[in-house]
Amino acid sequence: MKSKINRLTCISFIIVSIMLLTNLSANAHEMYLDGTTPINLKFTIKSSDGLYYHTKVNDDLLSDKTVYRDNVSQAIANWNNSTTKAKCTYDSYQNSNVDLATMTKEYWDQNGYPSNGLAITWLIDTSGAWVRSSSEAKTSTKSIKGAIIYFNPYMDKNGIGIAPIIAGNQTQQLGVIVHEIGHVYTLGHCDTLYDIVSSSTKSVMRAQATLTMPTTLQQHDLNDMNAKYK
Amino acid sequence: MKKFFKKSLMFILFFTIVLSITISAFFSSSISLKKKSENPYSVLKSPPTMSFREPKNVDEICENADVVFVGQIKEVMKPIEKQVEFPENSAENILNEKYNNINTSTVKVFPVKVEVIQSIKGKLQTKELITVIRSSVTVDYEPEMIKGNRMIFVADYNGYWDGYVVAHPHAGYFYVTDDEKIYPAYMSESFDKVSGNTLKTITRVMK
Repeated sequence: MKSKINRLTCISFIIVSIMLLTNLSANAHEMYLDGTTPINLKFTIKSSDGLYYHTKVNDDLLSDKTVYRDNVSQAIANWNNSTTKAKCTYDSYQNSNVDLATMTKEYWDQNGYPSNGLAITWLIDTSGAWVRSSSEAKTSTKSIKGAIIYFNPYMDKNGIGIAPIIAGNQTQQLGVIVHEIGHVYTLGHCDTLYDIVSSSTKSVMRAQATLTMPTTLQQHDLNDMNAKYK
Repeated sequence: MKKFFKKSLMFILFFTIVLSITISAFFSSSISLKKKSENPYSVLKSPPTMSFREPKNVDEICENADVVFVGQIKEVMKPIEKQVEFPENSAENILNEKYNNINTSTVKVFPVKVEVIQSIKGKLQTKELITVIRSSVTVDYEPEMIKGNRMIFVADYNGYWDGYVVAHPHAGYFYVTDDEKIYPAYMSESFDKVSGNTLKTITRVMK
């Protein structure tokens, strides 16, 4: 009788541990918090075969001079080749659901954005409302149908002032596009808001863009994507 | 005669050594900084929607900014919300039509009145009252602005608001304590070297 109870206790403990572990690893880093609770957003546009979550990217509105233009196709390929449920392709402006654009200098200044800001991702939910902050995320449908990724207009190749320094190198530019597409899939920064990863954990979703940042999805990113998109 | 030359040679040699030591000591003290004490301020969270470049070091972020100054916070003003019109053919206008949204043209900024205590770089004058503009995207993730507190601001002029935008939501701010010590709001290995140094020492690096 006693051994039966012990066995049952042991089995229960194992089941609870598995449930806890599964639960912990099943949560991806979200972009926004409601207080301290992550808001679960999800990109919901599926590919025609219904198997993948399909981002269709267009860069018609990126300035011809922008330092990012050369890296768009590689960023798309890096996402498309990842072993996740993400499908990422280039598409026409009419068909795209993710538009890369260079913000006008006027609008960048009107928003009071800092000179060291590289890019900003504005999500659009299935009702057509913007999701650009925690409050907008809270009232959104939580289902994302598209996004605009705006780039800093002061980073054109022929830009003045700090442009050439801010523009960084090719790795950084590619990494930034890959990172922003991660936001479209509603992945948040993994090293700043909550459940902060260790400094040695590699990820395309770290908040700061460095000259040596990864340009392909790392194990941490794959785990987050696979937790969100099954 | 030979003795005289020997003496002169010795004197020149000694003078050269003393001069070299003085020059190297001067330059090393003006360029390199050593961390003096632990940063007592907490790590700030990063804005969730905007990505930032990682500044290399204090010298670099200051070098690229329009102004660097020690300022005292005089007033945290109410946010300003404004409707802006997009120029025809601008990316914003085209995208606005595509996604059929109504509020893309509303911008909101959070101004703070700051008195310049000491200008380190740029054209600001001591005692000048300026406006520091903070964006709706970054404001919740920047250091808290408390009336009376002093900070070093690394910023760029913004013509639209006739004010200054801090170059980076963390790396553009340095806390100044009552005993004139400096602590960066940005936590990184290179910025950490500044921690606990005096205002006087830091201003030499930031020029």
